[in-house]
Amino acid sequence: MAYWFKQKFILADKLPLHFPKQKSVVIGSMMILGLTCLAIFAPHLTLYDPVEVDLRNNIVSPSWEHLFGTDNLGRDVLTRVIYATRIDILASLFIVGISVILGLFIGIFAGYYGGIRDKMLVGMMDTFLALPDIILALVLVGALGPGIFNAALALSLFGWVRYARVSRGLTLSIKEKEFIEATKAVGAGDFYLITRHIMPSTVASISTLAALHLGHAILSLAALGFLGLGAQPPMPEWGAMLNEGRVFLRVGWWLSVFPGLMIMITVLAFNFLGDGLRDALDPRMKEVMVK
Amino acid sequence: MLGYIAKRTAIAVFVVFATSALTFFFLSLIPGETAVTIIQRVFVGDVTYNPSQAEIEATKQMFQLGNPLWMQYLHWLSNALHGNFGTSYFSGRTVLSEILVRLPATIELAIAATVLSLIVAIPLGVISAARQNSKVDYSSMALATFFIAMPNFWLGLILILIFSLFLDLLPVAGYGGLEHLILPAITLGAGMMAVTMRLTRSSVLEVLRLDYIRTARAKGLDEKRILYRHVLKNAMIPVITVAGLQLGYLLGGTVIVETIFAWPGIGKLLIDSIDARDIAVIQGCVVFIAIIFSLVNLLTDISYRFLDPRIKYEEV
Repeated sequence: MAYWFKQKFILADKLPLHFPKQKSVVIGSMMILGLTCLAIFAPHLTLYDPVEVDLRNNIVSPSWEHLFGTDNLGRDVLTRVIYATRIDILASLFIVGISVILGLFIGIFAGYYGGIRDKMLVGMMDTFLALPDIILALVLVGALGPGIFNAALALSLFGWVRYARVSRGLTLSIKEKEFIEATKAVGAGDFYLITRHIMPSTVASISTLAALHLGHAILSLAALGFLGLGAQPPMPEWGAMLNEGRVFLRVGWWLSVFPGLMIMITVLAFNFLGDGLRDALDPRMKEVMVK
Repeated sequence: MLGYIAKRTAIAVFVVFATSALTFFFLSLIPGETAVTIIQRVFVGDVTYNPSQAEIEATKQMFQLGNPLWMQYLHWLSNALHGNFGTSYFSGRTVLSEILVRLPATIELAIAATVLSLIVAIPLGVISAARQNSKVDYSSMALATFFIAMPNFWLGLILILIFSLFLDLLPVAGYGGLEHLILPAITLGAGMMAVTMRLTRSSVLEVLRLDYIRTARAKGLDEKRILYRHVLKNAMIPVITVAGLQLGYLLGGTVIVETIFAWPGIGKLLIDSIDARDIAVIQGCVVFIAIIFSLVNLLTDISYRFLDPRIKYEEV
């Protein structure tokens, strides 16, 4: 696997690949594996229905029957927290996926074709980086109407910039390499060069950015949910659960503690993976990441 | 230098305009006819009211809603440049007065959070670097890792739970004296503290490896003097830059923190007006947040060049 990875993706610069040695990558991957299992096997791991209301059992404190207690509508908090893993992880994958596609497209286009198009796109990237993106995403969701899809869409709209910057930079440096010249001389077209040579060379940097972005996306998504602009009830989503539970802080601490704990564990997992990948694949990335 | 400042200022102004234009465009996406909303909410005060065609036409005329979007934007812009940001649909007061009433509370909160996070982060970061791989180092880095992953809305709730409900030491929410400020400031500053702490540590470690530090050691200076007189000055340059950038992000966090603690700032105003679809107030809030955001970025940029004279202005 590691050999294949090396063969496939590391081209000109032979970057050292030693992430099995990176403890944080291993820990992060294990945590993500566990969370993925929770998401996939949610119906088999839980005893209750995530949305069915049971008013006779509302706000029951944690017990053997309900490990995390029940909420104001009598729903089992553990069940909802587990089901929310699906929604939160899928939605943040959506955000990161859209951002990566958009960013790669814009970044490679700018770097590959250069000239006035490059200048304009770089200007756009710089403006987007300087915008108060969280606030604008908030306004966009408010305008489109609250909902998990709109929230994810708004966050993707502001998430692509770093991918574009990094892939543009990589494209610029690869474009000058001799083997690209050689491939061109043999008669390869732009599409072939971009998909076979330029895109693979961005994999290391883009995957590092993406891992860190996943953690960030979950935080932003849950924040929108917490403000009532993301997932709408009765959908189980961590941020929205915290928003619903916040009113009952005085009588039911478990409504506010467990969903937040899950957010933190998930974000930690992606951050471990991202930090580890960065150290293993691309130590120079540190400078790019600090903004 | 002057040219550099002028260029940066121009960019900051451009960002404010871009933000206001984007916001204007986003707000035009609100479904439903704006004229109907205005009639229902402003003139009649009843959301179920069904206005006649003549009333809709008259309102459109009055607010120039029939014009294309870019003309509406230019109309808004020329008013805004004259200090007229419109009137709130709900309170009936001008947007400017609504915002100016709320602004001091937000600035107070942001400054308190920044000061708090720097007071904790810089000393801990320096100690961690000075005693690399010690217990202090490991525990403060673990702390930073946790705070970076911790959602601030959850931290706020947990702090209320512990300090207000269990220990009954501090008020649950509200605005007033110092005791009201403590929990919101911690909630808002925690993320910034974690990032700054990590950065201070790595920055100090980097400077400690440089040749002039070896010279200072060879000269026989004691470690404390080296750390405080020679290392800190250079190590603080990247820290200040990132602290400035973080301050910008902190403004996004105020929306959440002000909502949790019922803090009467501009972030709470923004969320309330998004809930109420009070378009003029939303637009005004975003513009003011963008102004503060760009101003902070500008000052950070300029101070960075001042602190590090090795950087040439033309390069940027």
